Amino acid sequence: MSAGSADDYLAPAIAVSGSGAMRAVNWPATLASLPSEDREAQLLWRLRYRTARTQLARLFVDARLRTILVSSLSVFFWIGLFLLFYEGFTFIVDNVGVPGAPYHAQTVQFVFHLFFASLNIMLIFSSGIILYSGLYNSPDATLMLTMPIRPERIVLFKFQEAVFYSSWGFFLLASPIMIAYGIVAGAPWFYYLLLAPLIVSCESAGTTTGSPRNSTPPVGASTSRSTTNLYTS
Amino acid sequence: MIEFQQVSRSYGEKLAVDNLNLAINAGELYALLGHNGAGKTTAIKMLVGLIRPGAGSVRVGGYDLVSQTRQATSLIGYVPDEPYLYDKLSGREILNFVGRMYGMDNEQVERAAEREIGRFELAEFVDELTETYSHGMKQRTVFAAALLHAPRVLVVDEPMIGLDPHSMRLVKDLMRNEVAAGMCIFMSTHTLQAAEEIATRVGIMSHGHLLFDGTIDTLRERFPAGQQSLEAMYLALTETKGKNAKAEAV
Repeated sequence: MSAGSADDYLAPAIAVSGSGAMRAVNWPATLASLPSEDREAQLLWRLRYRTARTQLARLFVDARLRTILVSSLSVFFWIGLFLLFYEGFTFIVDNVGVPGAPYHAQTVQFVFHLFFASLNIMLIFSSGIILYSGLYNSPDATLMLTMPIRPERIVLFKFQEAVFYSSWGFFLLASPIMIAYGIVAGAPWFYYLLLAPLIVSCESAGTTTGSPRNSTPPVGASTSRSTTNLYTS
Repeated sequence: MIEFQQVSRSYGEKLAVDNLNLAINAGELYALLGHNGAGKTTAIKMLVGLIRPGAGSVRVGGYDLVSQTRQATSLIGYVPDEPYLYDKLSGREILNFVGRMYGMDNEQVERAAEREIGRFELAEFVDELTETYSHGMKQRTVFAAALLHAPRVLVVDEPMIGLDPHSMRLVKDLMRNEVAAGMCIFMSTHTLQAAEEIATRVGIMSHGHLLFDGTIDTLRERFPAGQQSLEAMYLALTETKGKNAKAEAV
């Protein structure tokens, strides 16, 4: 029994006319007619935008108390951390040395190394867990893999999500220490401007390091196609 | 249209599908029957490109699901056993997203969406968030999304679960009409009555082996009169041959 060749079904265009008048769709199902890489990215960003917009709108309708509580506690936590680091750096300036002095530099370097190393270790584990659930245990990844979307695009989409979800904690913890040091050391304006790219690059590095933990899919993982493409692309 | 060529797939030590050979043409509705764990869902996942075969190849419209995934999946519409929809989008937004991903332009998406909304009677709720949908409403929306791009192959995993009698009738009529119009449908089901009613060919799987492949009439020829309901034949086949298949596999 023959099931037909590829040319029978895809060349050059498919004209489908099933179920009488109900189906009168004519659109070319050739590979060239499928979305380009940029178009795919746009469509996925639009999906994300619409989902996020609705989710945010619903947060203030369905879970107002929870949203206010989480936001207030985050602000409280941020201010607490900022004050702690501000006092700590002021102590260093008063008792160890002013900015530029060798002991000051060594002490601050040690504090920053320790702090960012701890944060990155935390980030590696959290991004690993988020990517695992996003790629292997996510029904929307399964849905996308059954559509003609490039697998590497799906992985990138999920990676962006992992960076976002694992980075808010990083931002919450890293920004007060950096801003507190900037104020204590009297840093110029561009120091604050460069904080954002610095934090994003630290997050990306941590998330990228965390992602290979998912390179070996578990037995029965249903979306093994996506991971294979991550490491071949 | 669909070809499984010497396809095997295992999960660790467990052989889920063993040397499956199957060809299904356009205009056929193939119902794959089998107990839980028989290998039906694994076969379907390989057919829609979710998992790769351990050995052999799966082709749709002549395209290999591993090396020509995009070409092959562009020919397929897939309805999973557990319908998934983005909770925070409306049914219409989801139809729009799916249509665009298959390369349809604005006008084509709108026309196709209206066609499917009418066919699956979604008009009442299609603009509401899908988190408010019942299982049956979700299933109908997933069907609409799967058929939006007028696929040549429809793959359906347990289509009748959770549907009310009206929706079941709707889905059965739809599948019959599509097959009459030349679509190839591959359906996995436990609902033997539905298979008996609409399938043009059935396959019975047990422990990863395809025990039978043919029409229900061919199957009936193997059994004496009085034992020719699909249920009786299915149980007789899986209880005798299934044990042998397991023994062979071990």
